[in-house]
Amino acid sequence: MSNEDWSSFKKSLSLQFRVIGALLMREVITRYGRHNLGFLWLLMEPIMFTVGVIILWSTFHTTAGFHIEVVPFIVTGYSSLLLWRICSFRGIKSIEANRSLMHHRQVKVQDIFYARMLLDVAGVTASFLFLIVVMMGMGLMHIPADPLLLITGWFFMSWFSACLGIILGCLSEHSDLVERIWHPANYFMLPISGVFFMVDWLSTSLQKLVMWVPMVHPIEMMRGGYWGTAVPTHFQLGYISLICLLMTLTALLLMADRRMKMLV
Amino acid sequence: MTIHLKNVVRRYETRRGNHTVLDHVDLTVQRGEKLGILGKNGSGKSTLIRIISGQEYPDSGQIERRMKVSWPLAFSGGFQSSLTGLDNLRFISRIYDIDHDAIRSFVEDFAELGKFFREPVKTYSSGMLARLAFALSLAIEFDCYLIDEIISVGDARFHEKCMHELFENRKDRSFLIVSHDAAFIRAHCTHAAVLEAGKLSRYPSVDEAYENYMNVLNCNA
Repeated sequence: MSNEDWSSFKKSLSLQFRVIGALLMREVITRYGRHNLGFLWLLMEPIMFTVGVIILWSTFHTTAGFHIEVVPFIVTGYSSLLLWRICSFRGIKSIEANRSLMHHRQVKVQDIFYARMLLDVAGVTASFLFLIVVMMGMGLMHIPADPLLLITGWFFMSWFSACLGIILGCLSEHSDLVERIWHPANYFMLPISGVFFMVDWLSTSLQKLVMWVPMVHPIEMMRGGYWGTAVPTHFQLGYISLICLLMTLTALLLMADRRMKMLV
Repeated sequence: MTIHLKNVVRRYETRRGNHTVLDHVDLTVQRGEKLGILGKNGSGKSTLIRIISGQEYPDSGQIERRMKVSWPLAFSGGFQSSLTGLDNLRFISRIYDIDHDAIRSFVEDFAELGKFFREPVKTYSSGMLARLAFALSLAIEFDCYLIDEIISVGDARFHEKCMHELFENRKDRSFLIVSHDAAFIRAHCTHAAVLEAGKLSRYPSVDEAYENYMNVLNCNA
């Protein structure tokens, strides 16, 4: 790369960071506002859900064959669900909500998606950490046995969710059907995504099927990270890496479609 | 310091095939030049302005911006409606890399929004929105101002103030004005071109452009 190329690359990079920064600020202001408790809700929602589920489970499953603790199971599962649910729904509305800002040449489709996904992943990560700390404080969770594996699982879950959000966001600009189909599809994913089961509980034939579902792998990793070897987990780092890479490629190609900006 | 368009083509998809709005348009705008582009309704003037400002990409061809080009002036679409005027100012300052404190008082004074400066933009009237947009585009110094149609911002007094800021205080800059109004172009431009059926033709003088534009109008009448 020549000197000139290098300096123009640096210029573009600093412009992109500036634009993403400005979009982040804009999202923070409109979403969490100056007058309401928006940010607090981000933390309250998983807490309310987790507490509700804990009450339900402790009422109905008093002694019935559960050999793992419910709280960490719910915390890892629900936070993962929240990640892809929030990213996908935010992704779908991204362009719509920022359409007017795209009138500025500096603001690219990519910047809008990056800013949104960064903010959503950061928000859910904060709520996940908050939940863990609160549950540990209440004595309902312990320090993870293998924190690195837990973090790796969360990393893949975030990567997957951000790509999913961008892909759905781009596709929804081409057809309204995407949003309509995604709503029910999202519900169908719930029972197969590993949020409410561990792969080891299933029969071998079901296990084979369920291992095709990308979300299963990071969730298993997170649970493996929490309980360590005490609980058998099933995941393939290679498979989830491949899926995330392919999704990244798809997302990049979709965003590069020049028509995206023309739909303004 | 120029803007250079080379072989710019822009088509829109319609149900009955492609509609070519800009058909291999070449254009050079020099530093300090005041260029008017005449065209009747639907001739692609706004598309041309949007492509030059970078809001839209051409299907083929190249655009080189070797000077700082504004967004279309008095155009009020570049705001996020749930943000306040001040927050929009901050956003725009960030993306143009200027200190928002430096332009804040100018925009606040010029736009005459009073307490509404700190209210969401969606509560603004169209006049307020146009004033804010105009104030912002003056606060950020551009080398070339793009103007889509006659600027009508606010009442006569405010309009006068805008015209003065633009055409007097910034007469060293370039202007690219597209309009169907020949009088407006004649009043502010030193060069002119006519956009007709996707083709852009430049004329040596504004008067010649005007005559040809009149012919175009009469042919269609």
